[in-house]
Amino acid sequence: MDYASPLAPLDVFDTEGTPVSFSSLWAERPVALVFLRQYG
Amino acid sequence: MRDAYPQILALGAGAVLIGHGTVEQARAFAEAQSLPFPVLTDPTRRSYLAAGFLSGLGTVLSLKTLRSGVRAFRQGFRQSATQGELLQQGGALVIAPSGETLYHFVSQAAGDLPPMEEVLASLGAPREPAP
Repeated sequence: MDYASPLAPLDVFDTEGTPVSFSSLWAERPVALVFLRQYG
Repeated sequence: MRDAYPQILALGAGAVLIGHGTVEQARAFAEAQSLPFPVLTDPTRRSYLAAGFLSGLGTVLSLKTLRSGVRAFRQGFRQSATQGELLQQGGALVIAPSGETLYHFVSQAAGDLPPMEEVLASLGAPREPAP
């Protein structure tokens, strides 16, 4: 199943609050994205 | 993922942790853990929905969750104050530059973590033989 397409237009934020587009995360190399249940 | 990170880099890939708390919570977590890879946050949890990750009371109140909690406690882990949406579960994705989804893992309950050997295998690492 394709999960890149629905994620690509979305933004997340880095620890400074700067928006980061999902598509940029895998633009140059494969990326492992681990989604946390919670911090801590 | 910290332990697997050198192998991920050696396979020519990157790694990112994504949470769903506030930016301040993400920053505090990243500083406390001194992680070698980026920590990002999606307070809207729209990405969790897009990735098909679970959310709901049934994912928190289960025998599997209890077992995971006991196992984590025995290993020395202690639950800190919950940050973000309590009922949201996590998961993992590996995505190639082409956009192909190489790996997808949906946590079924708290403590159900993506097996790093599967993440590494999706990036081309040889699988370890079973002991």
